[in-house]
Amino acid sequence: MSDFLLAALPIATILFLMIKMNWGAARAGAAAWFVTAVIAVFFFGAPTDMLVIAQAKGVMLALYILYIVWAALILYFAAEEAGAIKTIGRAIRSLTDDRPLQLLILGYVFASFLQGVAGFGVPIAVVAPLLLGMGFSPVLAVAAPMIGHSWSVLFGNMATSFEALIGVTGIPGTELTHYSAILLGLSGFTCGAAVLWLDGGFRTIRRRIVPLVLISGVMGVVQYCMANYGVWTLGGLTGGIAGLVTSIIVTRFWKSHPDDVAEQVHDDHAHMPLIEALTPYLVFIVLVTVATFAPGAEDFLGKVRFTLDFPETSTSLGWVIGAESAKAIAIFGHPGALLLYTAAISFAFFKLRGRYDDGIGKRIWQRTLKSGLPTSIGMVPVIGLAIIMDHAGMTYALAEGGAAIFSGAFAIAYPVISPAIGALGAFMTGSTNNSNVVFGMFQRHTAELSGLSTALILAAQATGASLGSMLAPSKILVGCSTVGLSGKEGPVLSVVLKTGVILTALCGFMALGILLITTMYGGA
Amino acid sequence: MKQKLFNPVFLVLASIILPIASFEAMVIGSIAASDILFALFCAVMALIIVRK
Repeated sequence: MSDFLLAALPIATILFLMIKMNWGAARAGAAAWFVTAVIAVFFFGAPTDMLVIAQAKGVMLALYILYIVWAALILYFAAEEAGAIKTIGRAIRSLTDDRPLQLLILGYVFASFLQGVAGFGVPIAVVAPLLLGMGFSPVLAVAAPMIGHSWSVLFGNMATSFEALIGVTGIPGTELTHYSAILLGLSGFTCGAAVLWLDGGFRTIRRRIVPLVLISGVMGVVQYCMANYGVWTLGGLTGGIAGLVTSIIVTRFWKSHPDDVAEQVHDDHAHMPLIEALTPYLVFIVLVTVATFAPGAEDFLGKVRFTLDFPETSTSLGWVIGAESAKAIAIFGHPGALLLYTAAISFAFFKLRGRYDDGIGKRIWQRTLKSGLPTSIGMVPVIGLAIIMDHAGMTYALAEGGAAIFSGAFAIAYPVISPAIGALGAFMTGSTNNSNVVFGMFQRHTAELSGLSTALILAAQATGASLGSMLAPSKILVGCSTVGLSGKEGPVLSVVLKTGVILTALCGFMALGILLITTMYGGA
Repeated sequence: MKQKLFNPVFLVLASIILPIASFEAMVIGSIAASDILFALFCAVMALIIVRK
């Protein structure tokens, strides 16, 4: 039991520092890193060599993810500076005069699409001011995209969070996509319903149940197909595009309710054609498709690789981690490289079309630095502490404690708890990615010790972490700052927290339902 | 000097380079260099904590 409490101390440290002391994820992560290192060395018998090896592994995983983060930010700002994002937002606004449907399309579908493109708070930063400009209250303008985009975080933004889960647990992505995509698809429906609920309660959901089912159904199915076809890196993006296309079709046939007709907003700005605004994302899809399916392309782009070979490590208590190689970074074939090619092509395209003002290169770089640096500082300590915990046997000690609680008759209840752990991780570390890194191995061990399907429990963890990203304090700060609510984040947090808890609990019951069904039909 | 130490670019680069350098030093058998580099990495973690 003392091992369990000691192993839980780093997590308790992050929680305490972020919630009670209002520290950022980077500071709290670094403090928890020290706590982890001290406990690993003095109580779990970890030699200092092991700390060096575990931390180097952590850096390799961080590099793999940061390559995508920085490239995605460059692409986003190249498109945003050209006016492409505003054009896409405007096009959505002109689709329908049904106010709740506008909220659904912008706060849920468009936010999900943006999550597929960029992530890191971009959906909230872009959608919240658009909703405010359309006459929605500031709290609603921030809360809707925060809730609406959360389901697509796992497979959005080139599926970095999912890649992190694969990297940390060592389980192939193909084994995890089935349950993850099902749980996310179902959660996508509940997220959409929650967005409608914000603007008029259950009556609003009831009146728009048909568009909601159609749009969320198409997004969920497209994401499922992409993920299970092996291109999970495009799952969020293609799901978002499919949602936008479905929204356009649905609004053609949908008659707005007389009670909910929105006021017209006049916009005198010069417009960019929608197809031009979508060019960067169409180019990106083409590049990923070519890199994935063209014969020989993957081998050619993967020729230059960066990796390290790590020796076996063991603690004085006998916990052994075998020799292994780090996740190789193919410098020219990595998802981040594909994003960089797209950014370069899009930049040249918009430049030739005369969409940029002077000093554009400097402006894009400055904005990328401002957004990317805080995420990058936090990444190394948080991933490092998770890998040290794993290599010292601390994660296993946590899992043993969890399995002791959820063993025997209580094992069946674990799928209900699993998403809550994922959501808690996303809340405390401020990102789905970090939650998967911190809790991925813990969930895997607990599932194995409880005799439950590892794939299902990890899917529940990943979905919970995805939903929990709506609670990330950094995203709330970003959203509030764009609608003039800086320093008044409390009401937004209150709305999002209540909704997040309900959606996570629903996800847990859906995971339990899947477990019961698979058990009934002959095993998971 | 203080500004340079708390510069986010420096913190990101140092937190990435130092552990890899420490590991490489360990692989080639230079234990003292490995320990010093890892101690520097610990100092960078401390800087991240102190930085507001």
